[in-house]
Amino acid sequence: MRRHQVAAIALAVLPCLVTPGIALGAESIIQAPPGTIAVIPADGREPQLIPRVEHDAIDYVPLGGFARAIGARFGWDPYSYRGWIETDSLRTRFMLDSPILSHGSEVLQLGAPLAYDENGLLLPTDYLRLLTERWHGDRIAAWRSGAGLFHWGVEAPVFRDLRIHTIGRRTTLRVPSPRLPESSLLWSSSEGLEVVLSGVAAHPESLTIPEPHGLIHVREVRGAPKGCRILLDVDRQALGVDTSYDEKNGVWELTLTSSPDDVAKGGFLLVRPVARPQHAAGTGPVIITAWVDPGRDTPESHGALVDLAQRIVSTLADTLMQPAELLESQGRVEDAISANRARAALFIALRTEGYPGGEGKLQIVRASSRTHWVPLDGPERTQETTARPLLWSETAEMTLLEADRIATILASHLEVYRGPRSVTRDARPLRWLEGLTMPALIIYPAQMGDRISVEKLFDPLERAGLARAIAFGISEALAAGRSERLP
Amino acid sequence: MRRLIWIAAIGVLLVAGVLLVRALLGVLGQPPNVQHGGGVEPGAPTRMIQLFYGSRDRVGLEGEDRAIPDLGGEEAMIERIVTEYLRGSRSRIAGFNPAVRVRGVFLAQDGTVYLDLTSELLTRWPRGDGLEWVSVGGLVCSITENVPAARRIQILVEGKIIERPPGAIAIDLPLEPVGFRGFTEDWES
Repeated sequence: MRRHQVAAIALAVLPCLVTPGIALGAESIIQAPPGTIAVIPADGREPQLIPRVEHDAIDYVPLGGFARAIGARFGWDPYSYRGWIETDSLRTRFMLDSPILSHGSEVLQLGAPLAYDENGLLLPTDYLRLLTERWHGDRIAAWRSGAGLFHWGVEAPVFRDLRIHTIGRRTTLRVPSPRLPESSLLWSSSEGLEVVLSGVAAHPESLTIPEPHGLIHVREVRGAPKGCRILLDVDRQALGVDTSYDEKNGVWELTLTSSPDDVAKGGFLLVRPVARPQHAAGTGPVIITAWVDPGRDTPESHGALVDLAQRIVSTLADTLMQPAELLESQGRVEDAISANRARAALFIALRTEGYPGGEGKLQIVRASSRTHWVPLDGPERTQETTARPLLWSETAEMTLLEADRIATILASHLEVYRGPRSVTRDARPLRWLEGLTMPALIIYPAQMGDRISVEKLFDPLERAGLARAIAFGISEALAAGRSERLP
Repeated sequence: MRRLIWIAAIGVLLVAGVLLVRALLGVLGQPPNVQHGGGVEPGAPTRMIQLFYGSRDRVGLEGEDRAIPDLGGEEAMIERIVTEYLRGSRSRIAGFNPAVRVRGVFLAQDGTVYLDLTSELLTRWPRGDGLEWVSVGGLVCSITENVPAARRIQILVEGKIIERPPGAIAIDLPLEPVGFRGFTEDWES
């Protein structure tokens, strides 16, 4: 039997299966017929059945049918591959194959793209709720995938009490919610941890806020559109956070842990750095590596870069108090993980530049932001949790400032060696450097399109002089950093 | 005979003089460093924009003025800016494949521009760190400098975020212009 025939039969028997305006959250046993979704408005209008299709293991619903079921119009422009659903006052736009939707001036990122088949433009069912809630004021939508039921325009369920319990090094905040709410966590250095829940609301008058317990102190619960905001003070021992939903008991949970192992195993997101910022510079090794580009570097330039790195390490052995190591590059990400695990004081990569213009100046580059990070690993973590905790962004900013300081000293040494205006410094959004947890720089000693610059790189005497200038710069920068940190 | 030679010489000088004056008038009548972008029709409203390409003197960005049609809202303007940017520059360095086309532009309320480009972007990605930096940076700065509401750019290819960027720049995240301005000028001053 074809899908539309199933849908037609199901539509005929639907009033027997579902009750219009059914109370959301009731332990109903009703279920939409196979291959269909029952769209059930809360305002008493007739439920409607629309087909449910699967492509590449993703569950879809035809957008046109869905729009009509919620009382909206649907449009499709085959030339621009764009579709939209609209009422007189609202419009949401979609683009074929694109995992974004545009609602007014708001653009939402979806986890899967829209698709197209004989049913028309298809929207992943995971986003029915996301879409519909933007269309229905303060009310919410509820999607029960297993039963194929989509209730929309219902009021958010309300909770009256929050509970906290602690087991071992974990403290859990429990929020009663008959359905899985959408949640997001926001850090603020002044406000603490803010939990934003959509789909479950706090009772405005009779909410009981629990006493501080373990790692969690509930400071305040505020109302929010379609949900609530819970403001928490987090104990300084807390390291990681995780959220989950207990479907059986209808409880949303936020768990904080003070165990480094929980974070290391990947089950918890890191909420605080586990290393003191003072630890980052001055005690671990200085790591020097050569990053070769196989598509551009020749065997000769490859050899020259590695030789330069070796010379820097050799000179540092005489001038630096801490060890310096030559890292044989295994790849950018692998190098970052190695440096982080070694708790390096400084990471410097040497690389040639292939820019098709310019005078072949020496370039020193650091990351422009720290948006990626590679987890720390090592036995010292547990001993350091007593240090004053800082938010991750604070230490990242300090690391960038430290990289600036080292780059400035390095540049002054290189200018003494190569001459005035022979060095540039830049900050760039380089994802490899952004994964490093210590000050990190790339030095471009040569520009492959500039003959003089290449000749200098290939000259062993020039390399020896350059290596000394870089090593002296590193030594001075780290020595100055140590003296600044002394009490 | 000598008279004829004099007359011929004066004639040549006169023609050369006229040509020189016309050439000078042509140069003076045109604003310096301005190119007209594609799709500008005579009499249609135009807007001056500044696009950023790689300098031929150093690894960094330089501005270049263009005139483009001044029609539509901010998203349409961003689409035109990017289309114009992808046409490249005659005097400066452009690293992107000129076959790249704009599939769509969405400007979010928080100032994030979702810029959806065709897959040609990845088939010929700029080679070399400096070229990649000025190519991506030029695109980001060309949008943010000309459209005040645009604060950061999320590049998409065929509607998707690039989970594995092909080069050194973290294009899997929204890019802000500050990441491309560097601090070269501070140092050189």
